[in-house]
This record gives sequence, C-alpha cells and structure tokens, in this order.
Amino acid sequence: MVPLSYILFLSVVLFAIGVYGVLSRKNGFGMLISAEIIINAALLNFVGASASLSSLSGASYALIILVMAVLEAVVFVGMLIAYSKKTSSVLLSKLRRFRG
Amino acid sequence: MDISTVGFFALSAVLILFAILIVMSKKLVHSLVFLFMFIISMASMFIYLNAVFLSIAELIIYNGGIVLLLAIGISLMPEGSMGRKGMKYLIFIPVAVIVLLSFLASRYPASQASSPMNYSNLGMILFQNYGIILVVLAIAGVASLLSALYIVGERS
Repeated sequence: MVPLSYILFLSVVLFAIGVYGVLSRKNGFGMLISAEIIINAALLNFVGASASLSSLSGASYALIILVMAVLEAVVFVGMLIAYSKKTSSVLLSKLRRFRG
Repeated sequence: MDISTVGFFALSAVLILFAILIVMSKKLVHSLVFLFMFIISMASMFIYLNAVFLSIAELIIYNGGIVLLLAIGISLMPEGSMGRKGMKYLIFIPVAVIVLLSFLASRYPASQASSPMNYSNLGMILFQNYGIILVVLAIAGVASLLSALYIVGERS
C-alpha cells in the first residue's frame, strides 16, 4: 500500500487538470467532461483516505458523491439541450445575450 | 520499490495521460473516448485501493450512464462532429488498459474477509449511518429526473 500522500498528490494533479479543462473550454459538453475529472479526483481522495485509514466511511461518501454526480450530469445535459434549442449552439459564451 | 508501488505509479501515469488527453482534444467525441478510458483506469485504481464495489459502481454508472448520455447529447448538438480520421491507434489504448486492469485485479484481489474494508459491510454501514442521506439522495434523483424532463420538453 502506497502512502496516503501519493494518492493525495495524484488527486491534486487530476483536480488541476480538470480545473484547467473547465476554464479553457467554451463548449458546455467539454466543460461537463472536464468536471467529471474533478469529481473523480474528489472520489479518489475519499477512497484513498478510506483505504489508508481502513474505514468504510470514505467509501460511503464516495458512493453518495458518485450518485450526486450522475444527477448533476443529467440536469446539466437537459439544460444544455434546452439552451441549444434557443441559441442553436452549446457555446456558453452566448449566455451573455441572456444577461439582464 | 515493490510491485505494488510500481503498479500505483503506472496507473497514475495512465490516469494523468488520459486526463490531459481529455482536456487537450479538439473534438468532443475524442474527449468522450478518452473519458471512457479514464473511467476504466479510475476503476482499476479503485480496485487497487480495495474499493471493489465502488469500482463496479463507477464502471456501471459512468461508462454505462454518463458517457452514453454525453454521446447522445453531443450527437444532438448543432455543430457536432463525428470524424474518425487519425484515431485508428486508439484501438490499442483500451486493450492496454484492460490488460493492466486484469493484471491488477488478479494481483490484488478484493479485500479479505477479515479486513475492515470488507465490502459486505458497506450496506450495513450505509444504511445505519447514512440512511437519511440515502433517502434525500433518492428524492433528489427523482427531482432531477423530473426537472430534466421538464427542461427538455419545454417549448420555447
């Protein structure tokens, strides 16, 4: 079993890559895919701590987060489809026209 | 450095590689394929960390649900592109990942019966300690499903 610090470092690296992806993408689907990297980094954090501390609480939290991530993705995809019906695009930069 | 640490570093390298490929890909379909590979790699990392149940849930929920949902969403978008040129080499990546996953799963099997990480206890712990959260989660699931249906079905 590797030390917990290695797992946390890997989680930080994945989180940073995901944040870069969310910030650099203009497409809504691209942002959602990058957000999945962030969620998986958080899951890795919980599972790593759970394995390191020999406790199932972290795995329980990870399971709950996993289900919440699915619900978030479902609503986000639904909103993107509704948004693309109105703007004929999924570029979130066009959200500015709805400002006000 | 023992075989366990080498396996961890190999899996970490695969995870970081796929994460970078997801972010750097120009086409969304390619990102989606790399996300598929990323989820398989993450599931193998969960197996390495003795979270077998969670890895199965991850494979079913993410690769069976979210990736499919995103594929349908991308195919519905106006500027969607499904080009396949230059992606022939990708066939080797899932083979390599699955071989690695099989090796790790056979080398480091699920937690032993005497281990506190035995996942037969997970249901007991979930329903004893987090029963209220699970109920809230179920209600949130129904609410999100209904709200997604309402949002998509709304006429402009």
